[in-house]
Amino acid sequence: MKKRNRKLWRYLFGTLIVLFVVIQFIPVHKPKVIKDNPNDFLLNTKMPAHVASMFQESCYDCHSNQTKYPWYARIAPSSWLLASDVTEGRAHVNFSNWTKMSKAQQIAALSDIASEVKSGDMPFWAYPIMHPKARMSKADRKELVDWAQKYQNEIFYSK
Amino acid sequence: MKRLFVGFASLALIVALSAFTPAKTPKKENSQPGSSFSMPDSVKAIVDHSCFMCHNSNARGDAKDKLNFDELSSMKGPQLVANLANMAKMIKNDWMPPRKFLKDHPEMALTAQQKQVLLEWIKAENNKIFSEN
Ligand code: HEC
Repeated sequence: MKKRNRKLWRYLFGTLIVLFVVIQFIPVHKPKVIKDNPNDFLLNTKMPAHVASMFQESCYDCHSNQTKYPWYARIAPSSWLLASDVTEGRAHVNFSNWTKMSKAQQIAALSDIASEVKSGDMPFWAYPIMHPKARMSKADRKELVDWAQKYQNEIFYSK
Repeated sequence: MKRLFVGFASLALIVALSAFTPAKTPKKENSQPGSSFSMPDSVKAIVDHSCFMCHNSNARGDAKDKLNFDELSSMKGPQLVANLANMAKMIKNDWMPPRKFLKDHPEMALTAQQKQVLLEWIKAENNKIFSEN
């Protein structure tokens, strides 16, 4: 009986390993990293240094072309997850294209930023687990939200 | 002389009447005093058919917290711009109505032409808002 059980476990474990190896060969479409982004938000916007560093640390991996992929981005199935998160993140707002966006789009982005950060929906809860620097305190959130709301008005009333 | 007078009088009457009868301005729905936000019938029909159900004050769920068509007409400035631009983003990316929802209600999907009508309206509204501030 015991022997049979052990066999079963071995069989299961073996299958898992084979599966793990096989899925490594499935192509993944990870969004490309682009280093030079002349239209970048942080590059072209004046803001307090701490606000800028929060954007960089807490947002830029998913919402810019400057994604810093971690080691587990090379391994399935985590690579699938990262690929889809970054694809979706950039589709929502890509800070690397900031100056190419219309005023209306910038205002909408800032308004979304304020509401997502205020409600705690962003950064996505799982992200700070692997990126402790991305964790935002209550005070951090308030600082970012206040700035985003102020800057949104500034853009609106600028000629 | 009398004829001339009658002619003038009737002309004056016509001018006066036409000045007082409301001109045939295009119908503006949802327009609010103080803002010139307007939603033409062509746009309203699409919104009513494909969006309103989830995005109104009485709807269940949290969609109304992100976009509420009952409140849109009383918004202005950056808030209105943000709402309109967000709509454009969702429409361009085919994110609304939500894909899962469309599986059961494919007739509510936006056609290419409907998308164009909405996007052109949004663009015009946003330009108007910016030019007014
Ligand atoms: C079946 C219900 C439903 C319909 C129909 C629907 N939506 Fe939504 N919408 C939602 C839900 C739910 C959310 C919130 C989604 C979320 O937070 O991820 C939402 C969010 C949004 C947002 C905010 C997005 C953001 O992240 O800021 C916009 C803008 C929007 N919808 C526009 C539209 C438009 C335009 C239409 C019609 C073409 C439409 N919706 C039709 C359910 C719906």
